[in-house]
Amino acid sequence: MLSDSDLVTKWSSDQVAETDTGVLDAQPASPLTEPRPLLCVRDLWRTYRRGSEEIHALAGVGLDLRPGEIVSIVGRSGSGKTTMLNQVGCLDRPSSGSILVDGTDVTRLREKDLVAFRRDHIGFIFQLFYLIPTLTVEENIRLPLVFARRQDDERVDELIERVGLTKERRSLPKQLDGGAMQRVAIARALINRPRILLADEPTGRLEKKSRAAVLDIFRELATDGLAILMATHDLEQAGEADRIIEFSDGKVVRETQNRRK
Amino acid sequence: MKWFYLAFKNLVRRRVRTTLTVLGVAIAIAVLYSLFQFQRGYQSRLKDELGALGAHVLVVPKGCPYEAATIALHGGKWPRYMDEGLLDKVQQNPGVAQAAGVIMDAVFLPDGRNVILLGIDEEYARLRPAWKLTGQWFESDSSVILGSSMAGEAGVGPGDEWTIPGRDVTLKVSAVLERTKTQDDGFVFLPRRTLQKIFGLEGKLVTILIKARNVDRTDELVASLRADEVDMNVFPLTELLNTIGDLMASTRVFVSAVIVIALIIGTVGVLNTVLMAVFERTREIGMMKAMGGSRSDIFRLVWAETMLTTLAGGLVGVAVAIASSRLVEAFIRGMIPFAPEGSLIGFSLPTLAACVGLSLALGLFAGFYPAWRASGVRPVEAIKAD
Ligand SMILES: Nc1ncnc2c1ncn2[C@@H]1O[C@H](COP(=O)(O)OP(=O)(O)OP(=O)(O)O)[C@@H](O)[C@H]1O
Ligand SMILES: [Mg+2]
Repeated sequence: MLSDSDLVTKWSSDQVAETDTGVLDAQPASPLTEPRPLLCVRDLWRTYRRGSEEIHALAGVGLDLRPGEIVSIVGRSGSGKTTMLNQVGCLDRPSSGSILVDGTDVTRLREKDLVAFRRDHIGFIFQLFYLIPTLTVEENIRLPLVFARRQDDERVDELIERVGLTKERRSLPKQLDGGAMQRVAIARALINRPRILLADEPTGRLEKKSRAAVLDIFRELATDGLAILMATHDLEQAGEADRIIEFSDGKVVRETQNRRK
Repeated sequence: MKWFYLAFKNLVRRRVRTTLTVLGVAIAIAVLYSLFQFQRGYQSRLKDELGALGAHVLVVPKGCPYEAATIALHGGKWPRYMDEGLLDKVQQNPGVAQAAGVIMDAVFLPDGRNVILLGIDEEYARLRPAWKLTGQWFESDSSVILGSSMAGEAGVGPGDEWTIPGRDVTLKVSAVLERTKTQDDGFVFLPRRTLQKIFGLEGKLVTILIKARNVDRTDELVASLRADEVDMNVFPLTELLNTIGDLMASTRVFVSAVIVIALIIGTVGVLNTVLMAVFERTREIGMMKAMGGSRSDIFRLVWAETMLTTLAGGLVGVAVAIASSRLVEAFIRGMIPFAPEGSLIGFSLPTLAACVGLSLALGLFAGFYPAWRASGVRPVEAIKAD
């Protein structure tokens, strides 16, 4: 089996141009006509304490994400990928550093504002889908609207069509395969019209065909301007991204730009 | 899609568990409804019955006052008698407006039931202005007036002859008493002297019913009657009401204890169920938080679930109580010394509202801790992949 870094290197040599970004605070090189970054992470630290031992799950990470961009985070297990997504997604608070989402430094938001901010700006999907088994596909997708206290039937219809679940609209999750469940989760994550989608191992539990379907949807969404940041072990998936960022021990050790884009 | 819909959808995930919890609450609420309704029904029926008696003060021979009072109200074989001469004395008391002397006896039917016979005079009828007779008042010493159900059972009407069961005495029915919905319906009324003669009770009375000249001064009247004569017990009926009420109150303490225990068990059951459901769904709750659910949203959701459970329990409980009211009534009647006629546990909107309110309060209470626990779930911990 190949290690994570082997995978990245393999991709780099085949299909991606490697750009050594060196100092991460500097603007990452990008061939795109630089739109303003939607997400700016600077010198981010997250330190866990286990007894007297300090674990730096994140040790000074920097990262930018632009609208329409798909970025993969790869790295060995324990390298800090999930921790990174949790910080960006406002599910956890960093020890230090700043996270600017659309110009707002979320590290400075109060708990109450953070909930609302997360709800309106960030969508989340996970390796496990966490659908509610007694709710239909449509109802699962509507769930975040309840928390936002909004109605948005148009958006519901649009997303159901986009993820290809028009026929399964009234089905229960148990009637779907894993790929369809993850597509429900994607629609649910996007119902409140966030501009950033965070995905932690989104295809980790899916077979090949379903994986491809999820990636196709990601690409389509990105075309419409959604910024997607995903953590993955999946080589194919990582390769689909516009950029691949490799983590090791809580640091970014390599950043590669996909040439095809 | 609303909170209660979400809550409901969560509850149907564990049908058996939810059903059992609902039943637990239902039993507590059913007990509560039955006992509460019974108390209410009992009090008001008792008042009605005493009102129908038309008297303010009751005079009975010396003896156990409760027994005496109960027999005076319900009829039956009389263990003691008092002298008819007392009636004149009582009538001369300035506080007395009317006084009716009553003699009572009973005969038994072959099937074990008894027929209660009352010896009365016009004074007695005057204490019952609501009485309507089909026929005439006693025309002679051998006349008899039958209560409506009595007449129905015997299949006789005015002008017919009626024989006292087990006695070789035939009387002429001068009237049938129209249905009063009181004890009177089952009684047989004879002229006092006739009854005394038939049963060999000449010169004897079992009770004197007194209407006071001034109801507000019943206490004075009672005091003066008591001072007059030592051979009788004098009861203001308000006091009788209180005495029976006290008796009920002492059972009420026991009943309340049962209710409190039932409610505590119900609450703990609900709390346990909801808490289990919260632990099981920790990851899902974490997901909801990641999807923008705030602490208070999650709190509300779990609370709504609890309230739905207890509300359902409350409604089922009331339904069960009403459906089983006859059974429960029969059971309670067997346990207390004096129970008025008629259905005591019926449908009552205030009691229903109280029970439903209580089941909601139970939900509020039992749901608080699980809801608080759920609201504190940290999404990062919850959704960590296994
Ligand atoms: N709550 C925590 N308490 C202590 N240490 C933690 C906690 N969460 C994560 N860590 C540590 O932080 C480091 C980074 O963990 P993280 O879950 O971000 O890795 P990952 O790259 O997502 O791994 P994987 O590929 O297995 O998902 C690990 O060493 C982990 O043990
Ligand atoms: Mg991870």
